[in-house]
Amino acid sequence: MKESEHELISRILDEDVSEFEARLILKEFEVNSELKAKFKRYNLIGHAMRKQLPPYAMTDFSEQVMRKLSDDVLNLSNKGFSSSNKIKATIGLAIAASVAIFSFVTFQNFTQTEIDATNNPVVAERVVKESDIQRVSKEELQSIITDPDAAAAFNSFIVNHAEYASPRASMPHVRIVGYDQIPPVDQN
Amino acid sequence: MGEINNDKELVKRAQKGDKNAFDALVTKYQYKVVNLVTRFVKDGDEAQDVAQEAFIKAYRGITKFRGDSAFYTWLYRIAINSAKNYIVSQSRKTPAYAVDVEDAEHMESATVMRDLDTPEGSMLTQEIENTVYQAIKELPEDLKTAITLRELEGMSYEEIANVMECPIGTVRSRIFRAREAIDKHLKPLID
Repeated sequence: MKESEHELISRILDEDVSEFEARLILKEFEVNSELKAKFKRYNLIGHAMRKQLPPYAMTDFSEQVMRKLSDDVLNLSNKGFSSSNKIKATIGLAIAASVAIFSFVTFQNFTQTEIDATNNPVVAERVVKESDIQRVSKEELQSIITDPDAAAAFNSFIVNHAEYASPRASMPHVRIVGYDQIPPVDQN
Repeated sequence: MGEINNDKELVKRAQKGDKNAFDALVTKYQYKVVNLVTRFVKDGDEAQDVAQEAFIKAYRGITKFRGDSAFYTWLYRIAINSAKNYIVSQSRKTPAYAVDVEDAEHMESATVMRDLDTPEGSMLTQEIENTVYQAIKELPEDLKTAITLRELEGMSYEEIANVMECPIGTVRSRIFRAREAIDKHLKPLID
C-alpha cells in the first residue's frame, strides 16, 4: 500500500478530499480490503479518543448494513420481477383470449352467413333418394350395431357430421341432423 | 468549535449509487448512530438492529437529501425516528418497555450507556481506549497537538494550521502520521 493512499483515507475522514480523490479511494476500497480496514481503524481512533465507543462489541456493523442493503435490493427486484411477470402474463392471457373469441365469432359469422345464404344445413344438402333411406328405431339401431367398435365408429360419424345450428351464437353448439346409410354399390 | 464536515463528496457519490461511498458513510457514523439509538433502545443487539435499519432508510432516501444541512443532521433525524418507532412498536407489546422518548432524545448517551455495559464489551472498549491513549502519549508533541485539535476539538485543517502556525499541508501530514502511529498499536488488538 502506498503512503499517499493512507494519507488519502486519513483526509477522507476529515472531509479534505476532492471529488476525484474520493472516487479514487472508494474505487480502491473495492479491491483493497486492508485499505478499508485501515479506514475503519482510523475512524475508531477518533471515537476512542472522544470516548464515543459503545460498551459492546460492534463487529461487522457496516458489513451487515451493506449485506442487508444487497438483500433488500435483491428482494425488491425479485418481487418486482414476479409481480410484473404476473401482470404481463395476465395481460397476455386476456389479449390472447380476446383475440381468440374475436376470431372465433368472426369466423363463425363468416361461415354462418354462407350457410344462411343457402338456408340449408351442410349435411342436409346431400340429396338422398327416399328409396335409399332406411328408417330404424333407436332399439333397432342398437340391435344392428352390437359391435362396440362399430358403435364407436357410428358415434364418431355423428359427431363429425354435426353442424353449427345458430349463425349468430357467440358460443358454439351443435345440432345433429341424422345419418344415412349409403346402399351398397350395385355391381351389375 | 463544531465539526464542519458535510461529507459532500461521499454523499454525492452515494447519491449516484456508489455503494462504497455509502459504506464509508456507515463506517464513519456507525458509532454515533448506535450511541444515539442506545438512548432509546436498551438492548445492545436491538439497538444495533435499529441503527442498521436507520442506515437502510437513509440509503433508500439519500437521493432526496438536498444537502441543506450536514449529512449527519439528516441521518440523526432518521435514527431518532427509527428508534421512536421501535419504542412505540415495543410498548404495544410490553407496556413496561415504554419510556419517555423526548427525555431519551436529550439524555446524555454516556448516562444510558453505563447501564448497558456488558463485561466483555466494556472490557474491549476499555482496552481500545487505553491502547489509543497510550499511543497518543508516545507521539511527538506536534503530532499529538494536531490529532487532539482535530479529534477532540473538531477543528478544520485550516483552523489547526492557524493555531499551529504551519501550512495546511503540514497539518494533513501530522494528522496522518499521528493516526498511522496509533494504528500500529491498535491493529494487533482489532485483528
